[in-house]
Amino acid sequence: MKFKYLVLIASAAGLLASCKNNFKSLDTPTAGEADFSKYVAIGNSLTAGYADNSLTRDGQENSYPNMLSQQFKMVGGGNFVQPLLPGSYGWPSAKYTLGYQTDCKGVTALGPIPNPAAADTAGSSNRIGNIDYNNLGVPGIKVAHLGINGYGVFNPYAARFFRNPSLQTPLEVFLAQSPSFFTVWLGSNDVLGYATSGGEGNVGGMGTADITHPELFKTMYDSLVNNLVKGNAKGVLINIPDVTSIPFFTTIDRNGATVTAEEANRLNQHYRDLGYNHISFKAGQNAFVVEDDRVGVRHIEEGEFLLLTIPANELKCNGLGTMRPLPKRYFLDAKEVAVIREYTTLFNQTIQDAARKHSLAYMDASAFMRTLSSGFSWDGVKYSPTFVTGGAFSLDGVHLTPRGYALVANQIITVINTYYNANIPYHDVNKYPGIKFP
Amino acid sequence: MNKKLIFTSLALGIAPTLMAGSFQINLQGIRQTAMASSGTAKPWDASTLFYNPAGLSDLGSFQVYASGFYVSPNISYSQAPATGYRVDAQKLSSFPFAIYAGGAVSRDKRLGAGIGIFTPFGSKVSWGSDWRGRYLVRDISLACIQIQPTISYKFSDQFSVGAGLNYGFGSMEINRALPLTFTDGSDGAAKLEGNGTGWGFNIGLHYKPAEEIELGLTYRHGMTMKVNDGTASFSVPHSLQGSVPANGTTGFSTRLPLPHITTLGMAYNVNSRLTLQGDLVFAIWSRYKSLDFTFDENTALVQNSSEVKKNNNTLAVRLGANYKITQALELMAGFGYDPTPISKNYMSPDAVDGNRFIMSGGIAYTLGDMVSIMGSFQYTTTPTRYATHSPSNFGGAYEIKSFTPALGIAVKF
Repeated sequence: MKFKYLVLIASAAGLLASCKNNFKSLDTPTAGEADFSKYVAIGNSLTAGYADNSLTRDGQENSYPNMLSQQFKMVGGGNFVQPLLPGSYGWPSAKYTLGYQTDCKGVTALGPIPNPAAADTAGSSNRIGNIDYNNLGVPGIKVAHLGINGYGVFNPYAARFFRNPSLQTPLEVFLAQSPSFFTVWLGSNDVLGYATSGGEGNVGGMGTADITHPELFKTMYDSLVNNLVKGNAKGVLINIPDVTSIPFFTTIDRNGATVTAEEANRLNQHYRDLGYNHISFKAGQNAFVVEDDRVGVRHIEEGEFLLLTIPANELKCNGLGTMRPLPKRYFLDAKEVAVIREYTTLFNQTIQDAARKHSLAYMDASAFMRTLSSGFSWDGVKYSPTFVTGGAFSLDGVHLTPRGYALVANQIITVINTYYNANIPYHDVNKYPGIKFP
Repeated sequence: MNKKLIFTSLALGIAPTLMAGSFQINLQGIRQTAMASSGTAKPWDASTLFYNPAGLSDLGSFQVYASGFYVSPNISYSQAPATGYRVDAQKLSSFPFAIYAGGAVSRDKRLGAGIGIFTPFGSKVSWGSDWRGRYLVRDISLACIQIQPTISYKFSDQFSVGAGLNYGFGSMEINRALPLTFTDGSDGAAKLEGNGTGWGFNIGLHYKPAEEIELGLTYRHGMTMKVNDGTASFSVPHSLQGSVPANGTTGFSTRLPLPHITTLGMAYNVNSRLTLQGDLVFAIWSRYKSLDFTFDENTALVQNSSEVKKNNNTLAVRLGANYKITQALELMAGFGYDPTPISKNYMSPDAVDGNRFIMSGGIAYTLGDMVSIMGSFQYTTTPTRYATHSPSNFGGAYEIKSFTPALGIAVKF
């Protein structure tokens, strides 16, 4: 009889002890067919970790390649060295921060303002090109620049960490190492400069505001990838997002010219006097008035974009966009938008062809950004391309927040896992702060 | 000075995925708990009021019954594949209880009546304020007490029926982080708390075709708990205070439909010492289609929300045995399998669930045919479950284990 009690008590105690969760059967990370022992990231500002209109040490530490390298370490990844800046206020210019500004009408509103602290100067321009870096993101670089000898002299970021800035081409720098795994996210600047200048550049030019000639793009891009895969390296080629979907172009409302009935009459009279009978304002919201080569002035139309860089006070108090038409550098007209899309598609075709040819993984960043537009959630947070509150884009409206970069890193992991049959865990997006609100 | 946001607002979708399957507590009678919560076919004692109201007349005498449980589950989350990131929810204890008074009340012993006060569901989980899923839930607690006046009628020694009316009242509180960052890097927060009430009913049949066979069939109509005067409070950075309701608080209403449950039970009295019994429990969870929150004041950041739920109807199996060592001393054991209603892609950490394996045991000692003292335990475990909450894209692996001891006393008059 007593024995039975003892059995009962003993088995109850046994069950109590086995109450701990152990996750014994949980999957473990695997590298699949890829070898992450030496990972090199090639790209532009997005790869460098640029955010809030500048590059900082924090931004570099929160770059998507650095995040990826941390995940790769769980599947045999090696050390990942970045050309870190010393300071966290931005270099060469100060980063943006969120703060209050009082506009010309006396309205105090929250918006991006240059960080009150000065930009980082001490030590930022020091040459540190004596070692190899794994993150080769160079803010501002285009595919068109890859073959320019001495490019480092003209780009302060390149000058810092290229071994020999005045005698090397970026291509040589990018190919100087033999990675076992690489990511390439290049090409955005080959169209972005044209877009952020309001379409003021030309197609085929080499200037900041120009769109790269598609043949030059293909030649340079192919020679980069052809050489990267030589040692049997594997990698991911990432395409160019639709630049017109970023907050830099979508934040200022096309129909933001709000006027009273009296003001509308005055504006209509003004434009009639100048012979522009097609300009018509009514009380309430109106489409802004812009310059036009063909008809002189007109209202901005759907499918055209206003740039985030338009001086807000000029819009609000000095008649810009109403009494004074917006100059062409402040908006993208339908033709320019078509040009941007046409060349983005061409460049992306080149990128995708290269991925196919060399059996490399291809990440459709353009499609990913589109999912962001339709509302995208990760770990309980909803992201959108909305400026400031959307959570993914930093205060410059072009580059991403640390959480935005983490989303990109995880999307790349998804692509790697699928293409290389790997099982790499996702990076923790929520460990990074969102945009800080006062 | 007029402070406002220059940019367009965003809807946060304050839609706490409140709860789903796991919050049901099948802990009522001690003997039944000891037999993996089976007990529809055989009226063991006054707790039959919960398991099958038809059994009340069959008790013969009038009984008062009380049971208490100590619930303290281990709930854990792990990233998958394993990274070392793992969170064990803080162990929170709750004490479900049941009090029943009832039995045959008429002189001919045909009419039975009784009342039960018990805790039919509840849940308490705290994942911590900084864990990865904090934007879904930091902690949640649900509590409910039900009152069930019950009558039964015995048509013959073979056949009786019973019915009960259920009134439930309870409370909810959920805390979650908001993805709005203060300058010090901390998150905003939302808290939803309120009290709810609901009505339901249950009916049961008890049929004894032969001395050794007993059958039971019950239907419990799921009540819909309604919260009409909840309070939602929001803590957000100063510059966003204009985007939430005034003073950061507003009222809200919501409702939680509980499942309709049909149970078919059979007991086999093998001999004077041994009884075997089993229940098949069919729960209609699919009626819980969405979790909707309606706020008294909608603002840029706080908007009415509706979150789709995908719940499967479930069929649980519960088996138990009771062995009389002496007239006074009984031992009980049971095994059960409770599949989860929550589909793999709709599981949120505020209601973690998996297919549960239940092992149980217990002991009862009756003093002079009047007073029974009972003790039991249930051990519940779930295999590692990979699950995702698709609406918020939060996934990982979960495990639950719990050891629930209980004590009870029944007094016959």
